[in-house]
Amino acid sequence: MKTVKQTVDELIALMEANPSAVDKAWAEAGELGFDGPSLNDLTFDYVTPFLSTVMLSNVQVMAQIEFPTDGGGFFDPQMNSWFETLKESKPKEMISKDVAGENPPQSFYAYVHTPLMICVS
Amino acid sequence: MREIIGYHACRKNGGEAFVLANGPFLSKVQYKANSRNPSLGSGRYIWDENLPQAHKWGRIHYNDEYFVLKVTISYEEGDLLDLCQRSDIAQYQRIVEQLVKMGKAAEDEPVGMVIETARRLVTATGTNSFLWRLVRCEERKPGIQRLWQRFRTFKNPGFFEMDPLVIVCVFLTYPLSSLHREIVYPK
Repeated sequence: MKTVKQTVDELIALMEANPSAVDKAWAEAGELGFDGPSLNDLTFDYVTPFLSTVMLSNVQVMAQIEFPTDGGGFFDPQMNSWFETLKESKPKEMISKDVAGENPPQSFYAYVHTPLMICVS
Repeated sequence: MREIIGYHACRKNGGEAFVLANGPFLSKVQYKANSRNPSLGSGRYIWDENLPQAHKWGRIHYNDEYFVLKVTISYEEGDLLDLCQRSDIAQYQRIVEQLVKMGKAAEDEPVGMVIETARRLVTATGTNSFLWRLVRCEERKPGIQRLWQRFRTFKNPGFFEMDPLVIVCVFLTYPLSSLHREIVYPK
């Protein structure tokens, strides 16, 4: 059985060999309208600009981890004021799009900077 | 062989036999801007080792009229892209980097879109047998309420996550018949 790394090796080789197929797959996937933060969005850069205006500075780490999920697929009405504030500050296109659009913010994002710690006693 | 045990809440429509035969049910992506597409693309979504979350989902989404399926997924190492593990996250990042190299702003696009691109690429090139069949991610859950609760409780803004919300997406390339399923609610 292959490892995930071997699978990704093969996938990357496939991408390199089929650039037009990548273009097509990318365009099709884009039309589906996935949302939620991206790899770049899950960083301090994403959070800091609006945190300074709407939250205390020492909860940045928590907010980085918590925002903008709404909890298991449910839009929490208590988040309305929070997002209203965000809408005014428009820190990033994606946020303002989510907030200003017809849809509530999506509930899910893949957390791709998982900070795990092991204590060896 | 490795195993994931998870839970899936669904409507009672069709009755127990139908749910056992067809669940966990497929969530499909749709070409509609205002629909809520499943975040990792089409697949069967399961709460990893989280029966309470399945109940929560059922209570809210199905008006308290729901079944909970316990699902056991057997898999080999390469079947699972585990975005709860840093080693696999690094592999995901390699895919993003490759897309960026090819002129796609993948680092700014949702994870689901990157994964969907990979899935469509292997399908289009007839090579989908090699791709992983399961993706696992951790969802960071409650919103502002929990945030303030933490703020009140701890002086240190860091915390230990003692209630992780982990989701497994089972791709269609994983045969439904290979999933072991049983209804655990209602008994």
